[in-house]
Amino acid sequence: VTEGDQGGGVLTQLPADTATLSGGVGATALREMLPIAASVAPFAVVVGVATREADLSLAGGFLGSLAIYGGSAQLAAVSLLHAAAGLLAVVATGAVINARFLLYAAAMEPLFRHQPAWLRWVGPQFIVDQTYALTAGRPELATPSVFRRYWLAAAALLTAVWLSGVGTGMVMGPVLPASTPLHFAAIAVLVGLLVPHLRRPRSALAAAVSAVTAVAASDLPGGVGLLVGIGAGLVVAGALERSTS
Amino acid sequence: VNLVALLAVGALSWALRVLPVNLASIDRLPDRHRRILGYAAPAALAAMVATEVAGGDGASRVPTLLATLVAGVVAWRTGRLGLTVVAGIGSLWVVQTLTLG
Repeated sequence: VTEGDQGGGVLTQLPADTATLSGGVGATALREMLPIAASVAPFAVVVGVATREADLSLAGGFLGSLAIYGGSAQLAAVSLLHAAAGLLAVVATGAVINARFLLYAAAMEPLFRHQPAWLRWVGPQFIVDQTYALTAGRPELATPSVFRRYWLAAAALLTAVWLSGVGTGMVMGPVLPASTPLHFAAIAVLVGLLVPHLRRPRSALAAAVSAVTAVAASDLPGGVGLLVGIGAGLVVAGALERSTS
Repeated sequence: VNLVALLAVGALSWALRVLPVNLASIDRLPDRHRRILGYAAPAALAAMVATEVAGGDGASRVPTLLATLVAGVVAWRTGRLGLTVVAGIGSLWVVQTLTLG
């Protein structure tokens, strides 16, 4: 996948001083991940509260959060557990919501190709919307050693903040207010990651079709509507790419 | 039992992430399919934002939509993620304060 395929990626939208990897790869990764990690922290707290309500211990909550590594999927899974849904429904819903990571992983395959085996089996665990969007379409990350340091630093920071948030939610759940504007941070991050793609008309069209379809299909059970929306967006993308190739 | 369910979701999620990286070479895909993969991020992000905004109850939907639009404009104009989040939260707080007060 070349840079142009990513609709410009996030890089072109970053200020000039962060557009290069000056000051060290790890430092750059931490600097770029910090606002993202800070913004998902309130969402992590919400997920933590819901996880506690599903009768999980603190250790169990951490373990489950590390294993699923996706807030929406975990929130759906623990909400279903809390509602005493069947094991199959819980597992299917969580897996369907995380299914988009399959597409991200396929797109990131060239970045992992020349990595050591341990990183090829452990590293993809940290593929989420935010980390994928941060690394997509960045030729300066194509060097294996550079990508390795960038990925590990970004993943470490995101994981530390995510687990801290989940733990806070699990411990402090009963005394936290039910809803604050801070909860919007998780949506705002997705908006901030989405908008750079919209500068490319084809990506914008695929995004619009995906959004409308996902909302129209949102009554479908557990995360299926999301996948239907993404699928519709990719079908449109396929038609657009066929019309010019 | 609940932890087993979460770990099962995690195992499936891990397989979804690891298998494309280790079993497939993207170079073997036709060029057009590779380009379509580049649309996965905008499609998925848009679907998630849209369902989040539309999924709230009636009272929270309009403030959330307004805050999303403000965040979108700030992201478009500045390209700065931190500023986007602050503007979104700030505008949601303002709208909620105005409508509740």
